[in-house]
Amino acid sequence: MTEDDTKLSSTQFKNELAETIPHLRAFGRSLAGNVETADDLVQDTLLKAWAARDKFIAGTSMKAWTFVILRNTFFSNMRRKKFTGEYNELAAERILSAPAPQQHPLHLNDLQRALMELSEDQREAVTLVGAGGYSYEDAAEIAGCAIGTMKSRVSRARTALEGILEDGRFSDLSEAAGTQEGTALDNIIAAVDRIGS
Amino acid sequence: MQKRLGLGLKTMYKNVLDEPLPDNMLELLNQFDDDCGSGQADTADCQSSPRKGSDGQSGGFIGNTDGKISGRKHD
Repeated sequence: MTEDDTKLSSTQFKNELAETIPHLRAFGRSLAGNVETADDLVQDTLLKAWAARDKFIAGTSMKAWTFVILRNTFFSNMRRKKFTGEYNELAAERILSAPAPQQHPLHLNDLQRALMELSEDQREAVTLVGAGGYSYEDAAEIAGCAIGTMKSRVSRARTALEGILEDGRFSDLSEAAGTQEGTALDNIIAAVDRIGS
Repeated sequence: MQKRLGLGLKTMYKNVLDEPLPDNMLELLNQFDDDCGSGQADTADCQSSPRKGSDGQSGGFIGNTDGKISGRKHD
């Protein structure tokens, strides 16, 4: 195999990258819980992917490759407290209500809000496996953990989500974020302050 | 509840997939060409390499910690 066989042309790379954008937005939205923050994450991811395009191997999964970049960027930013996951009610209302025959519908704004109650690791796990449809193996490789760890995170996340949704009890943090008025930046700063205090 | 939860998660994810892309994201893509981008962004987060899954969609990684990519093609 020659080196050329492992490289995409710029056009091919750009096309594959473009196809991943909706998935990056969905993954980023679940991680960050906020449209603006998620889209910032996606833009950072696109820039990093483009800058690192020589490292991408043709025939491998662009989607999975960019998911790793996005989640690493998210956790890097979290560590720097550049931003934190937050619930945004206006955004969540746009994705309201998954129908469930003969049962009360599960309101997706409640689900998004409940997701933000989870640890970032659990939120990532249940998003990749439960929402994105990744296998445990692939999700574990994206998250850089063992398969058993991924299974455990998904299981605990589902149990926690069920409890939160059935009880309808949300923490002060998500309650405040969900009702707070003001800009996304105000919310981010407030959330960072709460964590730092 | 498990079924509703699963359905809700999938619906939430799919709804985002169905949204139109923001213009600024498409503009960003259009700005990419052979001469831009390389070296401009911090690529420290690009630490793993994907392999394409059997469905051609899902992927996995040959992870590493040295920041190099070591992907393999899926047969």
